[in-house]
Amino acid sequence: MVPPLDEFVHTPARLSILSLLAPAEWVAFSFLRDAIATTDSALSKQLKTLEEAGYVKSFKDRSARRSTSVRLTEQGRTAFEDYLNALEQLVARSRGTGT
Amino acid sequence: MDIHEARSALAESQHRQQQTIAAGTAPGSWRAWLIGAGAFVAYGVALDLDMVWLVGLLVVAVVAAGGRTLVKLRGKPSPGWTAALVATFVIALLVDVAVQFAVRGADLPAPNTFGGLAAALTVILLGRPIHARLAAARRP
Repeated sequence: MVPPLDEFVHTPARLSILSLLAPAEWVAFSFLRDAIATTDSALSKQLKTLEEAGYVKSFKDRSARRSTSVRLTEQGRTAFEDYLNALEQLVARSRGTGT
Repeated sequence: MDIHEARSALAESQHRQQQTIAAGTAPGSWRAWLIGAGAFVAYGVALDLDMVWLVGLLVVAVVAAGGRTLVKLRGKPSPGWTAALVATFVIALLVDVAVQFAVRGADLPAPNTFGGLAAALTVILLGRPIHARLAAARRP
């Protein structure tokens, strides 16, 4: 049986942000903004929503001239991995290899 | 959700993860390495011109000009390549001192500048490729 998809993650902007954060301990705000080609305010809005959900954490990096960096929380990492697992199971099932 | 949407979301996620991995494993830019190597030369010149006070300014300028890290990947860096990178800077200092001795022995002017040039070359020739290996070793 395919687990339910996390609808909160299942929006293009949030999925992009969580995917960019997943392999990293942290990434710079400017990296996220440039990678997804968005504006500071649009990214801030998405990050605020994700932060309120407990999925990401923004912080000022003292070693990088106090610029803003972002990291995935444990809750966010678990939600992201569960979301990907659900997608993979859905795809596997369509091939007839899923359980 | 249909199967096409699921496939497209998975592909998008993988593409984004690769973006972060590529940024986290990229070797340092030529600009950053040239600034670092140039600092050795500038230090030598400042000493030869008896302008030791300039060294403080130089440190501030190098820190300000150097780029900042945009991505820190998960996991620890390879201890072997980290040690090799540290060794490069030790070698650069030894080369600096050795060249200074040689220049002084030959009674040539500006020994610190020549020493700085030799150290800068060592940093560029050894440091950058080693740093590139160190960065690449973090690729999951």
